Amino acid sequence: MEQWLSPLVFTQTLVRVAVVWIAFYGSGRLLRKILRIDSIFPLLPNELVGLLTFAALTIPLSLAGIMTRSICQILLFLPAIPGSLFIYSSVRKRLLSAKLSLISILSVLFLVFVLFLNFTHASMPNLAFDDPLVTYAVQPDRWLNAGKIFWLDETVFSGFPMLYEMTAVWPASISSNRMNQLSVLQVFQMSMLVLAVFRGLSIMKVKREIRLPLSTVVLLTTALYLWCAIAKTDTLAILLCTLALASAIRQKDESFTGKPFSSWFFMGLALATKQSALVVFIPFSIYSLLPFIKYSFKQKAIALAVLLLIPGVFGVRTMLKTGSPTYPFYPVTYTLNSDWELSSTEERLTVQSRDSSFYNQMDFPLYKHIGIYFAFMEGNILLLLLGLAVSAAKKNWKGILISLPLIAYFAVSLKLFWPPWWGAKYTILIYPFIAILGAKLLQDFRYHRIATYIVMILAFIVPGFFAVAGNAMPFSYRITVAGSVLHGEWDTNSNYQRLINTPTAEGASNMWANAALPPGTVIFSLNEEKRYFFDGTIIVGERHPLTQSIYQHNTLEEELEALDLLGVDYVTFYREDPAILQQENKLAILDHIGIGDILEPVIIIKGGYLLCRYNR
Amino acid sequence: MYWKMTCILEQEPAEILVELSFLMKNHCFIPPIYNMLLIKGDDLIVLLIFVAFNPFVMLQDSVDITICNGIELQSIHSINYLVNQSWVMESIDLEQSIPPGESVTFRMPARFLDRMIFETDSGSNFRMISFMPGLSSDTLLVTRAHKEFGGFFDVIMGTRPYAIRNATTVPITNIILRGEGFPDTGIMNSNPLLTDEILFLWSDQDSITITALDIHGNLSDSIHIVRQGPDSIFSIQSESFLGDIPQMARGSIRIVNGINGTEIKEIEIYTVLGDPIFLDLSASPLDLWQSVTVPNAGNVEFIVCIDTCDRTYSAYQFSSEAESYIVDWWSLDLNFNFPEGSH
Repeated sequence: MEQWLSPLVFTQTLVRVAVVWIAFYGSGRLLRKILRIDSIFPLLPNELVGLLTFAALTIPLSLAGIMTRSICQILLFLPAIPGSLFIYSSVRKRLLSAKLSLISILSVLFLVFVLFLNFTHASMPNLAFDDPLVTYAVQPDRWLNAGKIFWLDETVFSGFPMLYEMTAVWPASISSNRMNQLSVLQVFQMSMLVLAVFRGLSIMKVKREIRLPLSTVVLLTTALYLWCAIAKTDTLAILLCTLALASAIRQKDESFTGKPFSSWFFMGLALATKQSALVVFIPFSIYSLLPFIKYSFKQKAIALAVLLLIPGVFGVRTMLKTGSPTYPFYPVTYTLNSDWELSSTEERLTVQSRDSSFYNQMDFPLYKHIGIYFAFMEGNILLLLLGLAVSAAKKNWKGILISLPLIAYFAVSLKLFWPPWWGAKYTILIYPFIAILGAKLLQDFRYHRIATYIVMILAFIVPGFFAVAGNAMPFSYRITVAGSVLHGEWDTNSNYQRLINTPTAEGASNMWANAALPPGTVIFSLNEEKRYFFDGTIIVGERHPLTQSIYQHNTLEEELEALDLLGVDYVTFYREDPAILQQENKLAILDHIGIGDILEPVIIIKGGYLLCRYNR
Repeated sequence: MYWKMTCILEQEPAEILVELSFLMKNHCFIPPIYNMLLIKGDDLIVLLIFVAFNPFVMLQDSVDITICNGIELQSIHSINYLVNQSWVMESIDLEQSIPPGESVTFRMPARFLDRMIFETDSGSNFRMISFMPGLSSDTLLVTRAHKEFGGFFDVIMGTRPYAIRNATTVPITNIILRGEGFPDTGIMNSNPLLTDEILFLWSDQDSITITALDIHGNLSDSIHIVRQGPDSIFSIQSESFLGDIPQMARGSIRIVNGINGTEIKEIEIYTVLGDPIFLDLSASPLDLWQSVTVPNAGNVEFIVCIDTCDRTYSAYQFSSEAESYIVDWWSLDLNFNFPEGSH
């Protein structure tokens, strides 16, 4: 039984993440009154107050150099005690007042089943996907090792924005080892999706009787099942975008009497989490424009201040370091320091341009592209369409009008993230909101309960029997994953031979190097970017500003000079095909692989990844 | 004639086109009626259409291929190729080597090529794999991207292959052919044959004798290889470096250091029943291929070894050929703990 794959480890991971949320909720509820949160952000939920408090707490801890795992654990457990008491009394009250019916029991069972599938998937450390092992899980891990937040010099990803990484410090701190840390971070992500749905429903005042089937629809979405189980920024951005849009609509409600700044604050936090949240700013600004015009000058100033404050802090920090507030993506080139310039190679640009001839086999007709885009949304778009149909039938023009900003979002995101087979994943930030808005429109319909349940059943059928828009993760896959977690080993009899926690060749190479090579070793990787499992330094040539010249036509001496400058000890690449496309032609160093030569092969890892000693 | 027909009909349609064009053009091939009657109905109809319209004369049996040398500072001095489904290496007569930046045009069969190998004057090989020339002519630019970086290597000393796989736990730095007329210095360049990589030695001899040299300079036993089928792969095993393996007494086990670059100083033997056995070898640690025999070890579950750098290795697999547990770099215990002092 693998130590990170068992019912016990799964339960422990769930408990650890629950402790984090209880601590967030407890501290949020305590601070709510003290900080008079309701007077300015009435829609800010307690757990988010706590989350932001803990994220802010990383700054003094870091300045004091005591942001270690032990200190963070103590700080988490202190508010978890009152938090658990608050939650106990709240749950007790809710249970006592609950009206049980067969349909509500069935709804709970369906939801628990879907939650079980999602959380078992999230609990399997994903060793195949790059991003968390390149940066998102790396930064909290390295910060906790060092006891402080610092700029990772070997990567360009330490820049703006960083809210997720500062938040992730807390769940990361209560994990037992590096593998479990990934698992805890992934489960934490999935839990944020659940929170996004329930808080969004609550803010939008969707009727309680359809909340459970609606949540099931959202949680069943294949794209969310996949992307919210990865330790990266997406789910926090989903949570904040959902709350921003839901609050923007709620604040327009005549029954809403509080200050209208919550939505602006949520949107600002979303921008401080993930840059692609900027596309969600389009429907947000359409929802908020008219009310904004009616605001007093002071209100306008406050709204803009709470929108820009937190992303601004990260932007200033990044600008002080690199010269551009938005580095590394879409940097402001005329202010960027020359040391931080990144000039993507011709080969990298070809691979990264999903619309290039390199991806000829994905050159679908327009209708198929658009079909893929909307099929990714699964039950969420069905709910919205049903809601729109009901609004049209009932001549509820206000309801239809409120959906129109989404058309602008669809158009812009289709254009920005073209082609959809690649880019649709960037639109998941809005999926829960689409479903919630659909339910909101639907609830005026007399048979809204039946309609929601029909969509729920359809939502079960779609991922159950079809590979949705190329995401082959139907129920058979989900049940294989859940079964593997329960049995403590991957079900090799299933059709899914590849386990997401089977490390890729370069990931396995990092693990091997971490055990075999002395501390402080510097590895230069030609193309592959993972670094999470290696305690030393991994410099990814194409991503590091100081090694960009290596990939240009130059002499061997110039290449060696760049490597010497970085103190490189080892170089890694794929043995048979060291670089992407025909980039080998620009890498003179590849003429020198051999015993006693500049690149001396040390070990080949299964999958053909080579580690060479760099002899100078 | 009938044999040729049945061979053709077992092939893929694209291959049939090429083969039939060859036969029809070069041998004025007209299938006799009595042979055609032996062919199944559908095939016969297709064949009749082919014969009636005879489009194959339009196809070329050979094409002009221009080879451009885009390799810096190295001249191409030989070109060899392997036609699909053939295991006989053909070579192109080069009157003189192709200097960097220059190109030469050759006439080559218009066939799907499994491999084209370009040898340079510096001893490096460059290759193109799975290549179909254009219908009338084609141009190939050979650059560093085509270098044989690893995975498998070719050494061309004849026309038929011996596939020799490194099944040892360490890199093999050279292979020395034994016998008259072979170089004593070995046949490989400095790029070693890593574990599980294959060296294709193209030779006209029906059997060869080789010796492998490992990264520590140890010579293997002489290994005699007799040519078998074209797909057969011969493996150089770790046992070739262990010398004579004595018969082990019942209940005894042997542990071999198969790790290059480090020595084993401590061994822990974990048995299914009973207490673990600890061996302290720090006074004389095991170097590569050295071994220690433990009598009456019992039923072993796994072995843990500690090297002189305090790294630990766990070996679960018993090698029945070597009658030993061979500890190698892949047995290294991975460490997922947070670094010390990070708590």
